[in-house]
Amino acid sequence: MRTNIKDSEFQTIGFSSILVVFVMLALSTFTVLTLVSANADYKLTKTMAEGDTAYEEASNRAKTRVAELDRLLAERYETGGMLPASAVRQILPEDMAMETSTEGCLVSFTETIDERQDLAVELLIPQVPSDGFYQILRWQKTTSVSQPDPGAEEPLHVL
Amino acid sequence: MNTHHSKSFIMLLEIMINICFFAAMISICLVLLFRALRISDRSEDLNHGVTLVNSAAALYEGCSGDTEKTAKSYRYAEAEPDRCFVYFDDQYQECAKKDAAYVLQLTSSVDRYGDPTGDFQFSDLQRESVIYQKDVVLHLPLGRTVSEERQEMQ
Repeated sequence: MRTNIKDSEFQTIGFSSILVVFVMLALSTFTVLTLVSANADYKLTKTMAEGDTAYEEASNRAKTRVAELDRLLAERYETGGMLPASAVRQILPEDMAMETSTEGCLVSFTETIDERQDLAVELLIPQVPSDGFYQILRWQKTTSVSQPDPGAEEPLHVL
Repeated sequence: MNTHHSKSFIMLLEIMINICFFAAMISICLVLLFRALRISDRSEDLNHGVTLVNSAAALYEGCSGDTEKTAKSYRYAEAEPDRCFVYFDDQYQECAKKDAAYVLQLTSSVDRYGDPTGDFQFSDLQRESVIYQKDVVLHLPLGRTVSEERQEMQ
């Protein structure tokens, strides 16, 4: 009987501390995990929003360049009535590439979105304008694939 | 008798220390959990902000930069000649101004060549902060008038 009382007292004294320690460990672990998860989620959303903004800025710059080209083509059309390759080449800005095809002039240029992505734009300028001075053939986000350095270690970005 | 009292005292002391420790840890954990909740709310706001702004920008482009036409696509939009306000509740659903928690503001302007530019802002009305913002430049092709002229001539 005496032994039982002693055991019971011993258990009662240590038990609450052990319980509190375990509860605290569990609580703090879950809290830290929640915080890390929420933070990772926010970083991902922010990256997505920044990517979207960067694309829109590049797209706006490309639209402005197309608008400038369109105005030049309209001026040239008013004076000449047609848009032959030689006339397009004269008015084309230096940073735009041009190729000739049977359908007309193929004009292409790129706008930088970020370090790894570009916006590639390709326009067809027909010799005789039918529905506008240009047609958009390509308006595409392209990723520049860089060769990985075999010696470099890449982080996993788990969190 | 004394031994029994001292044991009870030690037990009471232990429980009190545990309660204090527990309360301190709970308060720290609550602060961190509320911070996580705020971060989670911010990412939810930003996520919905990006989606709603992109959707409005696509409508604006589809309406060739006409603010009033864009506003007609929404049920509760308030349209002015160069501005448009669309209100959303805390579940990011369209609602009337009095129930709104967020507002999507579209401000349209015209550049020197006559091309429309739309400025989209998704804001939190309670915190009075801009969650997401972007500009959209449009270009209305000039050559369209050439084909219209030809049709008129024919």
